[in-house]
Amino acid sequence: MKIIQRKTRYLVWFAGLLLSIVMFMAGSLSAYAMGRQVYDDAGLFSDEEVTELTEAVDEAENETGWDLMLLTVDDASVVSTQDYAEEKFNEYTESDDGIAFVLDMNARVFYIATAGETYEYIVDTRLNEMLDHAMEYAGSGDYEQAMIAMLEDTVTYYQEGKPDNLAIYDEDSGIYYRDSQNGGARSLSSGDFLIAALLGAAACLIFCLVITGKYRLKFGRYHYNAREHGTVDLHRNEDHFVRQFVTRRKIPKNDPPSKGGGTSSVHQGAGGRSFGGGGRGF
Amino acid sequence: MSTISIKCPNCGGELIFDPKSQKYKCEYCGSDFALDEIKTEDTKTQEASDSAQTARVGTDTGTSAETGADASAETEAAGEEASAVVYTCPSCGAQIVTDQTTAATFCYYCHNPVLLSEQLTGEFHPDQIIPFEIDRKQAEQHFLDFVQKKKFVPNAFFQKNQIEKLTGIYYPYWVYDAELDGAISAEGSKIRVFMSGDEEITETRIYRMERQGEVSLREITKHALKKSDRLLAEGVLPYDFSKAEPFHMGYLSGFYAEKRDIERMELEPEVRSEVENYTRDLLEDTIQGYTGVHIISDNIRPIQETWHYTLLPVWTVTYKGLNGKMYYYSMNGQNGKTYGELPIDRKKVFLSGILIGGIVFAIMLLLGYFMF
Repeated sequence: MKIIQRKTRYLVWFAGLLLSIVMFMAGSLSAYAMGRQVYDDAGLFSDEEVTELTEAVDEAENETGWDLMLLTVDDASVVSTQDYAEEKFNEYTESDDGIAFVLDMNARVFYIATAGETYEYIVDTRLNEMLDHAMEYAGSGDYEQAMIAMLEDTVTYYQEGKPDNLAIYDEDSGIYYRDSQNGGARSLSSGDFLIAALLGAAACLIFCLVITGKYRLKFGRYHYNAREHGTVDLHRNEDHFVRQFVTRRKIPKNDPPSKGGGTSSVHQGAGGRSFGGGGRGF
Repeated sequence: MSTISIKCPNCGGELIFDPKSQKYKCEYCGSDFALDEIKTEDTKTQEASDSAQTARVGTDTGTSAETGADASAETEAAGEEASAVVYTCPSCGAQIVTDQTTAATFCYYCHNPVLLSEQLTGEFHPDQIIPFEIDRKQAEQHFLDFVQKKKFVPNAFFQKNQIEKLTGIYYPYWVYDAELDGAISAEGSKIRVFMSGDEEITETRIYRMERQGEVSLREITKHALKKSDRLLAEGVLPYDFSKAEPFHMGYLSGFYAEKRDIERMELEPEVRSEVENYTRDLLEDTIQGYTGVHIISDNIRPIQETWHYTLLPVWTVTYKGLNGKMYYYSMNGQNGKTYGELPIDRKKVFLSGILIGGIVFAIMLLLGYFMF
């Protein structure tokens, strides 16, 4: 009886051990699946290139602490590269800061989707520079180098930090925010306080002067209202064109005045999350 | 010079004009009469009072009410400007001393209203009058309401019993109507901005506008009494002239009245300059749809001018502040609009200013925080 009990106990231990190993393995597999950084659905890269790209992504992730992923796609059902990039990134992580670099071979578009604090670093001008670099390689068909160039730029911009004059432009509401994304920590500079204090003091002074002036009859006197008591009967009512002149002004291309060097344009993207980013055809 | 007192046809008592009912009331028998009912009585009493004695005396001897040749001699010595006029009260026979411009007053002894009819005859006969619509009680209430609405007067500064004197006076004004022929030439532009490729094109088209027509201006009102404060006299404007009536002495009964001592010739340069500006403005108003409109030349000339010598009802309030200072106010006797200098509680104003400044400061910070 005792022998049976001992065997049963060993069996339970063994089963428990087996279950733990299976669960560990399953967890590892799942973790591997979750952590995959390169998705070459368009089949542009060789296995060797995928390995190199994965190493480059690892390196950039270690440097920045962000989640980065590279995707290629060649699917006519992908209508919007932007939506595709944002959805893929949301599938990857719904909360972490990170960037999805998408090469859409069907639309022939490079798209960079930035989420979380990354769009405070990858502002509009930097994004354009990244795309410029990527285009240099993409034009000659070297998509691997294009991806690596963007990863290198990402690290460089992270190291350079956020621009001093950072402003977040919400494309949906048309409102500018400072220093951080919607709902994030904002701040006011001492200059802001000074301007607000000066305006407050001016309002106080104007109020005191207006009240004193009114009570002391300095103004607020009666003035004849000609528009109320007067009428006009026009006999001659002629307008003659005299001359005309035209002035022309060149509009600067990629630099609309409202989006300066430190501006990052964001919008509500997939999953209701704020995304920055942009793309360019090649 | 004759004096008038309007007698009650029933009891012979003094009639006074009641602003509330717009009728004449007898304070003795309680009867009231419409204007046309007392017209004949007025004439009779006027004849009866024509025996009134008139003399001029120096202001320094005014209250002693000297009469006769001696008084006239003194007046000449003192000069026209510094003279007063003596009348005899048609009710009690007492002598009443007034200014040269006084046209209606009260007897100091029997307190009956006395109308100095000859002050308002001939060239001084007013063309029109707006009768009082607000009586003494309403005037007092209007004044207290006016003061209570002012948030920055010292607390408890105004109290009903501090009203020293509330007097209903018909002040003389000149009311000017004009028809003018005006022409202006002006220049303005129409600007169109459009995009062409990567260029923003601004097209500016310059136009010249010609306007000519007849401009009619009504009821430009100027006070016509030197001794009244111009600010106070004009501060109660405007009046509703649709309620103006042809002048009748009876309206003055129960009120003080003054005759004008500013002639229209003295006002003409000022009024002409004003109407030219108004005409220019009205013609410029007809230019629509242009930006940067500026007048290059104008030609404005009056075609027809009418000056109406008008008596307008004003309540004057003399108020003794708790600080002992006297404050003077005028009130439109038609609508109660009150005008005059108010004492200021500096602490209240400053604290309110700080509060407003604080609110502006907070709003600016919030805007800076969320918008930029």
